[in-house]
Amino acid sequence: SSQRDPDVASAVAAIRSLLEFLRRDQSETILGLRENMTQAIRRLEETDSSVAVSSGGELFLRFISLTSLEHPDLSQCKNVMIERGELFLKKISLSRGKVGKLCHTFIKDGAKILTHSSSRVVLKVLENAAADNKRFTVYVTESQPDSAGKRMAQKLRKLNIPVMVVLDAAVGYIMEKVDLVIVGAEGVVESGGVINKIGTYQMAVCSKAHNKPFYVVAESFKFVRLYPLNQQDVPDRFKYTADILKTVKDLNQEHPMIDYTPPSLITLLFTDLGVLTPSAVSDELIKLYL
Amino acid sequence: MPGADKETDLSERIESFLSELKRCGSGAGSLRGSAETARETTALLRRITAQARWGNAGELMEIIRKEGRRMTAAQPSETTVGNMIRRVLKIIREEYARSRGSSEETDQQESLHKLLTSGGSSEDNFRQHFTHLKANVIEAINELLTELEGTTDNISMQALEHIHSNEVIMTIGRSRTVEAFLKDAARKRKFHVIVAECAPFCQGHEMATSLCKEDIETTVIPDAAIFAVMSRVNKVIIGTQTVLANGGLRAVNGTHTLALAAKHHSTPLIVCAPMFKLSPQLVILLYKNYFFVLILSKVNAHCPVFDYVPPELITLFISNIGGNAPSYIYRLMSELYHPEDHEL
Repeated sequence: SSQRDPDVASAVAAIRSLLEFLRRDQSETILGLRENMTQAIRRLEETDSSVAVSSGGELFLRFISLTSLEHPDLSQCKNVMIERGELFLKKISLSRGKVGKLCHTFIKDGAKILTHSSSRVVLKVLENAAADNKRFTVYVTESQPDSAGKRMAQKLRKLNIPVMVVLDAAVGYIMEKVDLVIVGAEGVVESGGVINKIGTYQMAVCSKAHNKPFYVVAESFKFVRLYPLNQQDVPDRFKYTADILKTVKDLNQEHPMIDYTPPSLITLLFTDLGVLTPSAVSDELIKLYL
Repeated sequence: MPGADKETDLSERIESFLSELKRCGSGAGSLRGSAETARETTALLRRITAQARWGNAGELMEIIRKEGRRMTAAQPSETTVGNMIRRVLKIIREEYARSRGSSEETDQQESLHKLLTSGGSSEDNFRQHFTHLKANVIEAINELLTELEGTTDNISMQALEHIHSNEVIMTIGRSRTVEAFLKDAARKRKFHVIVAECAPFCQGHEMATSLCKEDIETTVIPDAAIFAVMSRVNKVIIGTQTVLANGGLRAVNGTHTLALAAKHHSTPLIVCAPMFKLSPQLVILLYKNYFFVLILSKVNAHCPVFDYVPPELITLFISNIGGNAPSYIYRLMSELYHPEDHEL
């Protein structure tokens, strides 16, 4: 369903389908329900192996466990779950708007912004800033291998925002011109770091070297229970697309699609829970999972 | 009529407070310490709670927010006013929740957990009337005032843990908190203080004179000598005007230079700041505070009043509730203020 509606985040689509699955599920016990859910999530991950789907799925499972703790009776539990699930879905579809509202005040008039690849949240932020009558220029990296940056540039041109596409290799070159860097995230990990399209780490290191603020915008359902210590620690199932995982034997020959940016390089994270420093992210995750 | 008198008396007091705030800004630097401003703001808010006409918590919060906006507009650089207003708003929310009987812990922050478990609308619009709410809020504000009065003492009590004998401490300008901190340590330890004068007002000179009176060995240096002298310094202890939500500082000009020099020499930078200086703002427009100095008849010197110091350069925050790392400031802030009050 995420292919059908390109404006919806993949995690939201995943949660919507899981909710539909929940409605149609016929299991008699809560344990059975959980098992079916886990299977469904695995199926979803096989089609779309992004971090966002995984985090959305885990969140949904957690949601079921929390609800089932309160209502041990299955039929009552299911009704409460469906009701809360709808509410949850409604809230998270609003989260992109909330992030946009928070972040656009950090964009000053006349600013030059650098962003990476194509992110719907960053687009929303820039849209809000443009609606606020702020003048700014955007530099987007091409972001190979899928040239997602060019799509982002097209969308920005439609909003009448002056945009320039630069090569991925030109990040160091362009960094002295820009005032701030804003990127989206596919997943936000426990340490406060982010997992995003390959090239983000490079951009973060460059911006640190030039002392430019590096902002990450992400909705809260992207928080994931991973704690990678380096690039190798990120599980293979996130690094490559689902089809490659299924067909290719030797993954060492393949190029990963994502990389990990450690929290020391990130200035601030803008989420629908507020503006967080990277150290606040683990606090949020602990509150949820413990 | 007594009712009308109370109202005019209240609005008179608010107006006089506002005009005093405005006057503070137009002169060079602030004429009174932020602790005093915080105390007066809180006392005024208590008066508003006691004398203004309101039926339920929602109305009271509206009144306070309205007056708060006027106060912050009168003097935007004095952030303690806004902070105290937010504290009082949080107090009102807590007292309201307590009167309703619901536990205040769960209702406060947005979190992933709350996102998942809340069923139905948890919108609390504070419209219920409680008879004891006024008394409870006023009592809580009184507690806040007592806390405010004790802040400098609480900070100074921690001095002996951080200052050891024969150390060389550097500071900049004049901070009443740091002054009390150093004087408290001087009662039991012998150490040397280097004060950067902090041109062009040279408040460092007054700091040095005051420290000398307590028999502390003090040296005054010009701002340009900060880097040169830093290699001999064991610790840097400074005050600040505001602590920002990301753990950064908005401090007197020259502090960023001091912080960079300290980082270069790996000297710990300790900031003594009471909790009422903690502000939920992140973007502070520094460039609005300038004053003009006429040195020669044809030269205008543009001097910023404040500096931004990023959180990476700070080692420790000492406040009236203890020592904290800059990365923990977000947590302290979530305990002091409610997220909906960040924007008055």
